[in-house]
Amino acid sequence: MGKLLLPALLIFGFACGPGHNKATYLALPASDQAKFEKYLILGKEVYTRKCQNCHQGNGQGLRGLIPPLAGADFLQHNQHRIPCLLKFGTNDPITVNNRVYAPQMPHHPLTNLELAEVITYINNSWGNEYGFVTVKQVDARLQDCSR
Amino acid sequence: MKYFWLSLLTAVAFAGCQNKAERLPFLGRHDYIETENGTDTVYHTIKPFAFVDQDSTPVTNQTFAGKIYVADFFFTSCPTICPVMKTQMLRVYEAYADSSEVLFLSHTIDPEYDDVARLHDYAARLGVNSQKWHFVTGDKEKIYAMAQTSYYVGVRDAGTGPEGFQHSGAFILIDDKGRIRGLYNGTEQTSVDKLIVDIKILLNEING
Ligand code: HEC
Repeated sequence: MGKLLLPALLIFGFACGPGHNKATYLALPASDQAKFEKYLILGKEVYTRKCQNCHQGNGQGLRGLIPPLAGADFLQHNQHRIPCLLKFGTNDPITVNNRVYAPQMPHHPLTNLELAEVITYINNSWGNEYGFVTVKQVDARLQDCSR
Repeated sequence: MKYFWLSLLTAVAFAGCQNKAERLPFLGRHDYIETENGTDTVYHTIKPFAFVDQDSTPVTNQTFAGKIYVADFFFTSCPTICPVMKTQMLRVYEAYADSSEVLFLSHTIDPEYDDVARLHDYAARLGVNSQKWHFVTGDKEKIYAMAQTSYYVGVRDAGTGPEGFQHSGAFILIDDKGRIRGLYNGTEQTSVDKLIVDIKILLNEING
């Protein structure tokens, strides 16, 4: 029994990497699939350290104070703005799922790689399917933050 | 195996004595005074205070007379542990939503920024009842003094914006006579679970 369990667990573990059931994963070329999975794992680590206090482990936020990330229409439709928002904090109230939140997100001194990882993580957690964000995209999006 | 039974026995023994003592401790420094029939213990109590809450209503010790309450220290622009503390405090608030004997008192440690309007907005965003959960502001020195000498929690203004304010994540349980009956870590689920149980024990004690 014990002899069977270990290989069984190993197989199970590989077959069920964090992103395998995602449409995003399936649509990626094989060469990018491993990178996507790595981003999900490292992004979760960034999220736990830097975001979870406010947005909560389940991405639900905190009532009217902190907006949800899970099922958030703002996140879904403003992908180009997210890197700037995280890097520099927010100065304007943001409306998420018809509720207006106070501009109280602090800026986060994260590297562009960490930004790509954490955005990929929130884009693909709690039922979200908002896509894979690469460091190249983060670099480009940070070019026009003032807009 | 021997050790297993030994530790089980010890666990049972300890559980047994916890059940018998269905009474929370009194925290803080005690004084002893001479009376005609020996000595009496005088427990540490919360000193008199007067602040205003999110509705501009004065909040004093009288607000909590005959009630038990949970106190904490926070500030609205806090980027670190406050949302966690408020999530945990909300669990306690919901657990005793129907009990008129249990109230909540959150003090801002950044009263210059957290005026009545800001606290009002904050409480409204949390969706809590201002008769039950008071968010208070007032004179900064007085708030800090209450924290340090009445509730025994650390607060500090290191003066470099939101990151400069430092405070403990403690929740403090106060009984109907203004005595401290428990200290909890408001950022830790298990500690807050204990607070929820302890409030029940305290209510039983008060209501006989
Ligand atoms: C101190 C609490 C706090 C922390 C920490 C925090 N946020 Fe936020 N976040 C907010 C608030 C408040 C808003 C709404 C800001 C506004 O209205 O301008 C927000 C908005 C957002 C939004 C846009 C609105 C939405 O829900 O789609 C995203 C995306 C987001 N945060 C992601 C993150 C990520 C990723 C991190 C970690 C790197 C993080 N946040 C850390 C409080 C926080």
